[in-house]
Amino acid sequence: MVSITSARLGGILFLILCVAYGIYADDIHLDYWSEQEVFNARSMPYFIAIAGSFCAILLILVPAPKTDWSAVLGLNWLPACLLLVIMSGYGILLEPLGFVIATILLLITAFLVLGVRSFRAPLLVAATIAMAFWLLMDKLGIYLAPGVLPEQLFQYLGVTG
Amino acid sequence: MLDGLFIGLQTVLTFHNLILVFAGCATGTLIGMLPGLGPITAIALMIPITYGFDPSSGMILLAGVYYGAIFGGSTSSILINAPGVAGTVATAFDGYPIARNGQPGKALAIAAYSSFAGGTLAALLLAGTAPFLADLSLGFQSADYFALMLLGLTLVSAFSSQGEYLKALMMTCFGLMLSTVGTDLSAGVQRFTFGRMDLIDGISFLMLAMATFALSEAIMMVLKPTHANEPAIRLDKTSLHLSLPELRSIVPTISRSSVLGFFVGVLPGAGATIASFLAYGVERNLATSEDRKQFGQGSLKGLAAPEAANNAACTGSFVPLLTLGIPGSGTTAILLGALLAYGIQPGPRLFIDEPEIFWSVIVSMYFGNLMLLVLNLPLIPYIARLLLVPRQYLIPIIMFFSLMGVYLVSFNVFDIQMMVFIAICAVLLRLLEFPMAPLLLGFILGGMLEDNLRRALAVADGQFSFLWDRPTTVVLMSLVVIAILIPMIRALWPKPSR
Repeated sequence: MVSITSARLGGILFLILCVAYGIYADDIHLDYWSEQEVFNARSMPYFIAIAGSFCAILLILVPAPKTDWSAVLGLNWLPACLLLVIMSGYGILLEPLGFVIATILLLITAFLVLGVRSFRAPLLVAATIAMAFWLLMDKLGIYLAPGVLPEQLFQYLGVTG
Repeated sequence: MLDGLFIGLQTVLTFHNLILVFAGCATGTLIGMLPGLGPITAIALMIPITYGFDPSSGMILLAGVYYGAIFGGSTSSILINAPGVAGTVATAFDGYPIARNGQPGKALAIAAYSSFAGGTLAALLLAGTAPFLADLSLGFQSADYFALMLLGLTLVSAFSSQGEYLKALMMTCFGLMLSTVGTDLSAGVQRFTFGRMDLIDGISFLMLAMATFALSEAIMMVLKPTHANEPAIRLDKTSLHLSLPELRSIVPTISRSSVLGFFVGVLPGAGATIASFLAYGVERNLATSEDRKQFGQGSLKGLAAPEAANNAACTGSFVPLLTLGIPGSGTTAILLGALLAYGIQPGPRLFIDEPEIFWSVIVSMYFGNLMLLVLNLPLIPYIARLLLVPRQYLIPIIMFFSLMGVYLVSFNVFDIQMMVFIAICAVLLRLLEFPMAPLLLGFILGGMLEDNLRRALAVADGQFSFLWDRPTTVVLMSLVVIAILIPMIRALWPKPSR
């Protein structure tokens, strides 16, 4: 039975990508004159799709050393995945919450996910980094928006006009 | 050449630029010291800061970061046996044993002296050869450039470690694929944007570099916390002093390894890793039988050779970048990206049109090495304390700076999401043991490769005969064929192991 090695798995995934890429290359809109040219906007993607597919097929066919999948599965997946979710969440919350609050939340949750036990030290470090960075950007003339929600809150409290 | 050096000295020897060299070296050392984070990450993290500078100052800072990161990598190799980058793996062979024998200061001093000598000799060789090569390449046409870029891409794969050739080729194709996303400027049509406005300008190289290196490295550190619990060797009461006989014994090694490293570095795709291993092997073979026994146990020559070679190779890798506009490694690819972002097109015209940039980069390399020796080395006991900072704090901070580095360029939160997505792909690819540098190189060269192919075809009336019309193109294409075929034959029919 053919065993699935990391090389073979990568080859299969890449072959699928190349085929999809080649098919999508067909969707590139060309006007009549461009279509008559020897080299147009579709040509390079076709070359790449063919070259990539060729490499992928070779990679699938060439014997490769066995992969120890148990070692891969035994990695620290949970904190790594949580960090990715936190970063993605940062992208979602940056505009509504504003730079300072979103950054403090990003750093604190990441510290806690990575095993920091207390809450005071992470809060202190996160707040210092966020405020220092915000002040530095302010000094450099780079505007980091306070965020939609804090702005509305300040307006509600009558702090800003 | 002397005029050029004078221009370079004038540019570098201003208070502002000297501070930048120092800042670059110190920051590069700090980042490069963290295991897993190499010069590519260090440069990627620093690029957004340089957008406010003029191109010369930006390149001066980045050159300093490059050297600092290599030196920082050596420091972590020596102190915790965890090379920051592949180029400093050979440093750990003898550097770590010397440090464990109670002489970490001596090991760091040898690394610094060798790096300085290697970098200085290579900077002189670069100053001598680059103008000549730039002159020579002025006669290059689109067909030659196309062949040369193809050669760069294939050599990166050909020089990848054994068994990774096909994977490296695949990653190059993947990089080329990503480079086609966005608007094709020559035809004015959108490609692979899937109707998203955010993709019309294509994928930002900085985002790709940050996601594939900085972010994915941070995630890999969490996934595989291999060296997290290894105690760093403390440097509080150590001597950085080297005796005269010790110095004398390593001088010939440093000279040989520097020249070797430089010429290996010039080859596209070869780089610091091959140079350091080659220099280590050469010195081991040249050593007397008595000396040879010391290799791997704490040999001074075994430490000096890879250190001189990897620094010289870093300088050598600037030759194709500055003279031909072709990056030969992941690090020079990202530097090329930075130059393009400043609106500078590297290549033979750079030497003529922007001599202050060309020469200031060369001169700053020398000053970067000098700074590392004079200022960074005494500071190492303090800088090395970074190794004692818990990973739980370091990793989120790296993540934050990576995200901010990209966000502050575009102020578009879509880039953050895109970056996380690319980082996920990069982590999975790393786990499947696919190299990342060819991806970056393919991405950076993709647009230029396509432009030159289009131009060459237009000149040749749409005929592919341009590939054999000119002797230069024929030679380069022959090298491409060799660079593809030999490793492929080796990959398809591996030698039976004895």
